[in-house]
Amino acid sequence: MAGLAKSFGSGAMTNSIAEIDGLDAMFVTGSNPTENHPVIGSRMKRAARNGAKLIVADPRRIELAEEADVYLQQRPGTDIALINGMMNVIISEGLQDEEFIKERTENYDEVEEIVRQYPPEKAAEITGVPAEDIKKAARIFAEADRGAIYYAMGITQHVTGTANVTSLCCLSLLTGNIGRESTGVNPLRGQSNVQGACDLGGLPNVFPGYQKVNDEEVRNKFAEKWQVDKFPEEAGLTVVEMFQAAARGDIRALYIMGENPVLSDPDQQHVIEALEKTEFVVMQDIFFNETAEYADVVLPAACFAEKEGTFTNSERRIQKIEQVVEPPGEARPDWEIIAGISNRLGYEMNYESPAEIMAEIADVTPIYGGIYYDRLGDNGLQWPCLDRDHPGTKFLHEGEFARGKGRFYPVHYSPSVEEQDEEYPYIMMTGRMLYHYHTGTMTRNSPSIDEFEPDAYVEVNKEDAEKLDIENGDRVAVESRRGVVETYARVGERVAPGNLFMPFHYAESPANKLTHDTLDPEAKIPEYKVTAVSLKKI
Amino acid sequence: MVAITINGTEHQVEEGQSLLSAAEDLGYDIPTLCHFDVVSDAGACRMCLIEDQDSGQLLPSCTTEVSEGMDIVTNNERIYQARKTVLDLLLSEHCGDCEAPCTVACPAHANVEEYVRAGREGDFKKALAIIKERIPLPMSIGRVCPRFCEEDCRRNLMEDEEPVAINDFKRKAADLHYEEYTEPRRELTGEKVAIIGGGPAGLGTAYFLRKWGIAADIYEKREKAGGMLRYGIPEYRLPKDILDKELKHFHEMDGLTINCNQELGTDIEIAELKEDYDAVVIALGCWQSSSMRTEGEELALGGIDFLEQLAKQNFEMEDPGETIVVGGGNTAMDCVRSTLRLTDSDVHCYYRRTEKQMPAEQIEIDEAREEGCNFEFLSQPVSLRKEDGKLVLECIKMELGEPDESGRRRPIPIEGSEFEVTADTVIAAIGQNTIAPDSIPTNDWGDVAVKEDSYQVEDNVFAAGDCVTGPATVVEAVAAARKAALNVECFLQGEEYSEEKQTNVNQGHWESLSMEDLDFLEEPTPQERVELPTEKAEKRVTNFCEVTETISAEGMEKEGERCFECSCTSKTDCELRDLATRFEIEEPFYGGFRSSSGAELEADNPFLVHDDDKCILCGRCVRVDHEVQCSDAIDFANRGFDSRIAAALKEDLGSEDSSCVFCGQCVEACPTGALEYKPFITERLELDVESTETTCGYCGVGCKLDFKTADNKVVKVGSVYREGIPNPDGEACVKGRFGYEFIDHPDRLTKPLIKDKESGEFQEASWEEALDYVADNFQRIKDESGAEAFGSLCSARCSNEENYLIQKLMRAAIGTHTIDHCARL
Repeated sequence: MAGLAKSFGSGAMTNSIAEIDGLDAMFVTGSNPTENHPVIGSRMKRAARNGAKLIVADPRRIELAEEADVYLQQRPGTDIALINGMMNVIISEGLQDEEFIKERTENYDEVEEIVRQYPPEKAAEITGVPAEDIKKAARIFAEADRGAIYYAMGITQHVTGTANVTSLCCLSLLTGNIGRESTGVNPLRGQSNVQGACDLGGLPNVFPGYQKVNDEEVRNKFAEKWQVDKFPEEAGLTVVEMFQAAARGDIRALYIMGENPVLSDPDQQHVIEALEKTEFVVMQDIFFNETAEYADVVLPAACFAEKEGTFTNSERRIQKIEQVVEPPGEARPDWEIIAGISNRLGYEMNYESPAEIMAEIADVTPIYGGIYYDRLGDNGLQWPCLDRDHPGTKFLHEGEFARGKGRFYPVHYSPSVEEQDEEYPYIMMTGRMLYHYHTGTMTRNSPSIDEFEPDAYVEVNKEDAEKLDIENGDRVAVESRRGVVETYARVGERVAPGNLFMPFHYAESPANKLTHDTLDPEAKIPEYKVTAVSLKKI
Repeated sequence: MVAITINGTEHQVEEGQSLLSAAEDLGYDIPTLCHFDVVSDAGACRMCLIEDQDSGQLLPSCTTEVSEGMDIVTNNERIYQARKTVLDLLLSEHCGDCEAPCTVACPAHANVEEYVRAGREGDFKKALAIIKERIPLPMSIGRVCPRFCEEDCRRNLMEDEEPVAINDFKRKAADLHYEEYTEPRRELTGEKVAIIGGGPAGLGTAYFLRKWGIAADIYEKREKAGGMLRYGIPEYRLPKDILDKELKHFHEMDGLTINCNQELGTDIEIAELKEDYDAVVIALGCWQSSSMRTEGEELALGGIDFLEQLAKQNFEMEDPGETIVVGGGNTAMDCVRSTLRLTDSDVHCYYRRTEKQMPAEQIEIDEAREEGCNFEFLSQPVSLRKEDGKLVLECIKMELGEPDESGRRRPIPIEGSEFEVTADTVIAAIGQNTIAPDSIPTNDWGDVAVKEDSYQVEDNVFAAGDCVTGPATVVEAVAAARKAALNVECFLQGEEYSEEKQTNVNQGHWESLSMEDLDFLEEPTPQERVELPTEKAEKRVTNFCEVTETISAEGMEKEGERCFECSCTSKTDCELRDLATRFEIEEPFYGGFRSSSGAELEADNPFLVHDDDKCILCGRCVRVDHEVQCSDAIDFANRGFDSRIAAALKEDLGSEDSSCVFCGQCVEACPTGALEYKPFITERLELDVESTETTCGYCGVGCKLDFKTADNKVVKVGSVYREGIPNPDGEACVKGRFGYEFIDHPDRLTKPLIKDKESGEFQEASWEEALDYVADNFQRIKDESGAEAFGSLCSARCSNEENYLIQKLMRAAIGTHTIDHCARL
């Protein structure tokens, strides 16, 4: 989100899901929507079948690639070179949107300067994608009247994640594909309320509504609203930094709500050491998950179907969740538990209902300023929704960017930090698959789904499999500089030779035992998409 | 816009749309089975035929575009007949059972399958609630019912297998929970009904009326209520303290009174009741023993008179000596078995046909024989006289001739075969008649006459039970009671009463089927029936104690496993059934319902079941798959007469090459039970499924889904179709559709846990303890090391409100910005 915020001033999907229907062209990269956002995936397929052009760029030959007009199978971690190559074609063929660039953007000169150095042939050399395909993709996207970019973790989970995103923003600014219906740069959010967790201050550098903690005026406002003397003036630690601090002994108490860092965070051994080192760990979840083992207190929470509240989806739409069944045993909604702790600490939280909390959110969060339960109706509201009369916002940056002008932040390609060598010759990417979700807390405890897809696996190209004498379904060991994981081989052509893919949902074959916690310097996202590993049959 | 005329009225409609959608938007009702809002039209089912007034042709309205000047009629006799023919054809190919045969066989149509299932799950309270929807006297009926349901049970089809012991579930459920069970009752409307007779029909009518908010006063001429249950059925079959327990519930109901010792003609008059009440229901029963039509019959006791006397004397009666009971019905068996308990002398039963034709239940005949009854068949009394203090019964031998109207072979006397037998007591239990009140019209049999297809006698007077039908069973009496109550309710609301009728597709009686004709998700295995523990015959005849014991809960749970669960899971949600009911199709014109299934169930995956036998080839599933989901996983195969829906080019949707992603949209689109969710079939249909629309808890698309719940459990996830939501065409994915199962997983955390510092083991704690413990430690660490020693993870799976609160807690109560979540992971 940092990349989007830098370029446009707001870090969210710029346009709405329904606008897919009106696209002339879409560029889908680092996102596997038919598995991870299946309803969007179907909608894209529908649009493609109805005539929209589809460009797919992904190191894995994902299902959507079969529907694509152009499929670009870049090497993992070479996205910037690919995008720069496309922009090089656009500029050298004069396909850029001059008027848009002139009126609505800044720093265009730097783009010209940088992308000049990436002629398609050079981009082809770095990415492994044929130059002709880069040209074709560039032309399709530039010539479309309404073109949109869709991406997900395949773009962000790199050391260069933020740079990858700003490159995509450059592409959209260059072609004038932003600020109108059926255009935009659209990160597809992987979880039901990841957007909401970000929107409402679940980040170390911002208060709710992305109001910066290092802004004194903001701090003063919240000090007044929340009736406290003062706040720290600098941002707190991000999740990976938090565990690094815990491992050093700097953090003594951890309060974990609805997360399972032992499975979801990079370098599992390191996370476990950090948890063991932390003096007091409170875990609040629906199951006794892998992280609970290291907790001092485990609190039973109600799941999404057992409480009232709101989720904010990928397109910034705030929607109600309703209580469908009673929570099991004594489990309680998280908000009640938090309030219980807060009251005991002497900081009063007396809310009758989630609606009352949302009213407070509306009071302190300008982009949620008009969000009240009585307004959510059947279809919710999309932020920014500034006051009670504001209708919500279907797409962002119409007429003006949140930051004023859209800014080009072009970047040079730089290789991934984790180098392959003779010992670890393969690049392993992690990710999700259709049948399971995140650390599996919900899907692996849903018997029908787990019966269908019970086993972890690693995708191996059939050429590599032949070389290593591995057959489909064989047990294999995947080893990185940090650990080794045993799993089943799934042999095929989804990954290119030299690449491997592992889903991270499985506790018995935890992909994150292998990954490293080197972070993107700005967004602090770990590089899950490039891990050097070895592979052998066992 | 174009101008079209529908049923003589001109309308302006949008161009480019189909006649069907134009007419539907205007509020015209055109039935259809293949039209589905979110996909294109195919004109496959031809239910939507309309008549084009220009050409005179019948056209499918879904595939005909509106055009200027079009003049159509949406309904007339010709269209109705054409649609009916379409349904007849579809139904003649549609093979399955809407309802389970047991439910159909039950005169009261109790939801047998559902209460057996509840019993299998050990939830007898729920079982009782389901039973009492239809059966107000389950403790009694659970003991005395002749079990019509069991006769039709498909378990009979398995070699050497007895039917499921269905009636014993009623008995168990009622015995366990009769005290605490309270049925939902509507608020009293102020209307009042008088009911004459406190037997099963009267009690039943009062019960249903009261449930629906209508007060009822029962007038009973005897000392206590219960009718035949108290004064007809002997103690050893139905102990009177059990009956008292059951009736206590009636006595305690507000808005329902039972007034005993109130005899018609003496204490009450119909004419007065008609004035004083909004309606009157006659439920007098059949209390007059039928005549033997023989000389000297006054010397014999009437069967029902004998039983009534016995009950009134608390089952302590003088020794009747050597006894002859004449008759072959249940009343005769009650007399025989009661007499056996009163005397050590011989007891004989004379019946004019053979054992095979006896109307009594087989178990009664068998137990009577075990207890020492001597049966004399093909013997008919001719005269009765008294000689030397003994009764002499003259009989004649019979032989069986041609079948009569009842289908039983008619007994014909053999000339010159007369013989005489003697006894101390002769009981004539050959039937009972109604003693109808004078002012009330009667039919040819002397029963109360009611209007055709109704329970109305005249004006505000209604009648139900044996006094209308002649002697029948308790379950038939309560079945009639419910209908009579409905009839009264309609009358009070000024509405026309018509019997509830619903088309019921069925494969036929088990005797006409083989196991191969039935479809099973898992092939049933042989399992012996759990039998009622029964007292030995030698012991039985010494007293009037109840002969059987209620089966244990474990026994019933095990017995429940024997149920095949024959009904269709879509029975309450089937567009084909709804239309067939609307067109009043009892059986398809073309060859009746199919008994034999042509295809196997396809279910080699954990998510979907495809039952080809129920498919009507409407093609909705294929179009949803191709046009909305775009998975191309299914299509028509074997085009032509053998056309069917199949996984595209593949064996099963679950096979490795299949492109099916189990989004479930085909199931949502299916108008019948041809496609269904497997977990839902395995869990089976619950009676009261509630719908709650909510937002999916998985990815960031934020799909709207319809959670169907029963008993605080999610049983399936349906689609929501609405413009403006992220999934307007009812889309979902496998996680949204099937990922609800974790919700009631037994491993869910249900109590706070605190780790014991010494042992490292987690101990359960109260919320109070756990929250204090957390707060104390937070406070201590904050005091010692400051806010920098804290970190927190909030969650992309928790609500906005919760994420807001936890960061507020960290920032305001603790004082740190170190809060993050896995947005980046």
